[in-house]
Amino acid sequence: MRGLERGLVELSRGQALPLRALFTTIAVAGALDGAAIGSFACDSLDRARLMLFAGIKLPFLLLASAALCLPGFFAINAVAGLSHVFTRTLRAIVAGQAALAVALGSLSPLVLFAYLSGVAHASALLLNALAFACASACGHVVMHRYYRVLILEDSRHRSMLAVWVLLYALVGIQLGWLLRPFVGDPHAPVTLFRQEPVSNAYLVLVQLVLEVTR
Amino acid sequence: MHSIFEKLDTLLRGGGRGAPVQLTSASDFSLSLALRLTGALGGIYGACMGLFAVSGAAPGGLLQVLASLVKLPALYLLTLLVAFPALYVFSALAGSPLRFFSVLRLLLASIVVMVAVSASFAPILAFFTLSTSSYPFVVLLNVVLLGIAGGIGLRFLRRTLEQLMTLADRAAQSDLHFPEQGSRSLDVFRIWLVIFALVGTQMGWLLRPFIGRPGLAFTFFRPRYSNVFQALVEQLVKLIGG
Repeated sequence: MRGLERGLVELSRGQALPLRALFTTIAVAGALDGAAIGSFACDSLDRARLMLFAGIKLPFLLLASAALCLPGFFAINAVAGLSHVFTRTLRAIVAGQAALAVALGSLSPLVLFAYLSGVAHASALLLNALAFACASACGHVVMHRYYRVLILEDSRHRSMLAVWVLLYALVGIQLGWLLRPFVGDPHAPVTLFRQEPVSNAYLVLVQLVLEVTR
Repeated sequence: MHSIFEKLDTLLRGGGRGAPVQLTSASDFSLSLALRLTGALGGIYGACMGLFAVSGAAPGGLLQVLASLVKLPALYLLTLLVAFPALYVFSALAGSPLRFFSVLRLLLASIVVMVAVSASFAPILAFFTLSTSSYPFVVLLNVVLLGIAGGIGLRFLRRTLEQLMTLADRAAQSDLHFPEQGSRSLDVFRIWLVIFALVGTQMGWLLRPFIGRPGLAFTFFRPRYSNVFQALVEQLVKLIGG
């Protein structure tokens, strides 16, 4: 508990934490968050497998999204002549992710309580989206704290932060779409991934908007 | 016993006036003392709630008294259990100067204020419960009494936190790197108060029955059906639609 408390204080103040500790936090907190999200309508051993699947997929989603974006982000930083402080930039990004995972974990009791109250599948999806949005905002605030000193040193880091947020959201949304289901439809069989052809989240969204407005 | 009463008295006096005594009185409460007081005072009010089943000579009336005696303190403590992690993590990341056990102790102290106020209403509740046979009246009376107690407890918490955050703001102003942290954590607490109230309302719905509807046999829990807010909307629609 003292370790968690010290970690949170250091995250909140933008202090340098070891990368290994941050990655461990993402993996452990992410797995617990995923298991909580996947526990929707968990009334049998078969449905409990979804907790395991989501527990694996959530930390993977967080880390793989970052891993996919990092090469491009490094290149942009290098072109802007900011690569010499990339270790600090990386720490800011990973700290933001760790804060997101911990914040999502702290919202898990609320999500589990809503599940226990018998919310419908659509409401569960909406609630998890809301929890994810809150946790992402929290992660962004922490990442900004780490970036503050970098921005004071060179104001171009402000644009770099915006670039990261855009890249990460772009990749994260599509990867999250590919890794579905997390909550799991109680009327559908339990699977690791949806048994349907790979699709693009953005194109599906555009099609939905066109269908609604037609 | 005398010293426990004295501590409770100091806590309640601070809660009423919003005087600086809150800062020390809330922290004087150990976790175990706060838990014992919540159990005892909440139990008194809970038992009075369950009296309606005894007065109506419903089957299992005495069991309802015992169940409500346990369930009312459980309502407060389980609500805290569900809502506390979010408050702690978000306020810590927002830079709150309060530590884990300080926040927990403060929240438990505000719950003690709530149950102490509700226990003080117990004689009134018992009087009406034993002298009326109208179930809707008793339900409404409980909603009003618990609403008043909850409002006073949350006001106590808000005032205490505002005082703490004002102190933190002053300290933060001297810290050039993080000048906005104190006020931001107060915003987190304000949002959390709404979440706490919502979770508490739904928790009360899940833990029903507390009073025991006449004509129904005793059950420890009712079957899960929708949520309290859906049920309220349904009742409202029925009321308007006739």
